Amino acid sequence: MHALKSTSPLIVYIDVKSPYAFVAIKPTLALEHALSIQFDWRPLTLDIPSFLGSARKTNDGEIVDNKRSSTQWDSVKYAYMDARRYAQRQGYNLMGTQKIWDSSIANIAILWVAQTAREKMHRYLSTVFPPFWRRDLDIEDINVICNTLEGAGISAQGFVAYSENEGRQAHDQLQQQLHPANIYGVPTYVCEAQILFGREHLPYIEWLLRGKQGTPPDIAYSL
Amino acid sequence: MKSLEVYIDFKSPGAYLAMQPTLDLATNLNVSLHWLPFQTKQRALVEKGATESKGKTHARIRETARRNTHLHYAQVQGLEMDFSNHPRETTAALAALATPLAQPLKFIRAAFQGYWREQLDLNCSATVDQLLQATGNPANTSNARMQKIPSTPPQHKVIDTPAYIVAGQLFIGREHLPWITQLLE
Repeated sequence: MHALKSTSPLIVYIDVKSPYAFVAIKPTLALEHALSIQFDWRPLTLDIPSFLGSARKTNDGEIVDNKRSSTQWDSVKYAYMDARRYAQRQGYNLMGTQKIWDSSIANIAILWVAQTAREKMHRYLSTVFPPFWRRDLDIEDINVICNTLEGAGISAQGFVAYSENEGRQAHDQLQQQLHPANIYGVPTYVCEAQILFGREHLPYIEWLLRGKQGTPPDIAYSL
Repeated sequence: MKSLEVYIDFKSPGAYLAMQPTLDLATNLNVSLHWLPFQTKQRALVEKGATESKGKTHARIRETARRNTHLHYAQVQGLEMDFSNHPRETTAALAALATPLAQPLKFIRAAFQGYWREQLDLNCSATVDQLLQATGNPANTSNARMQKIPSTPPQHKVIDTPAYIVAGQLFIGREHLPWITQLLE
């Protein structure tokens, strides 16, 4: 798998543990549906401590391990506040995470769905993101991800082995390509060799995919 | 008439690109705009090091991508945008904006254009005084610089510009204009 190449006109990089990816799912799926195009959904498993520091909270919200600067905290707090209000508009509850999760198994499942049940990708994304952000899903537990796949109507038969072997290799090999390809965050959209970070580019992406008619639009979050 | 507070910094590429869409919103909704100064921290592009941490690599790629994105949408808006000497300090111009101005919009337009197209030094009092005079405002930077640029309201932690405060909510970035429009309608 090449980081910038696909048979689909649009590659979408996401990570289950990213609040910005979460609030991008619904409008991106809506665009996919409206255009009747299958997008190429892929995992980008963020290494958050490398660029935003790390911290851990108790259930009561008490910070028990803090490796973040005040500037990093301000950015993180705004990001969560902002994602939370847009999630609420979409009918979701977004609760701040208590730790930085290893989302690689849930993300490898994106590759699994793409390979085994592509037509049900929207079901997997809609089944894994909302409960994780309600703190109802332990995405580090492979049995939980198997149940999530089954709950989305996707067979998890063989997923455990896939996630430990072929899927893990494909995931890790893809991650190694991303920084060299100038991809660093989620959601990232790759369309006509342009790399666009953030769902605010969806109006422009739609303009591209509909044939560039009229004036290209500015950035905007859909409501 | 409803009003909208907009925090800007002349060296902020996002604030520069937000100006016209924000003015359009104000015109369409008959909203008065209050332009307020905010000192942002802008990062220079860094060269790829022989050895760099994952965090440094992430930051380098992110800044390059952000710059390319700003240039892309500048082209969409038909704006010139020259990053060759970015970032430069803009404190004198921000201090001037913090004072009452007869023609704030003319000064803001001239300051943005000066920074992004003409490479003006907006940290130079004489340059800013010239801009003020040219835009129908009293040259006041010597007084303005005696003051501090006012801080943002404590309940709203502004971290970048453009920052909009409307209906008690803080929005950072012009991508929020659809929601801001709804709040003001």
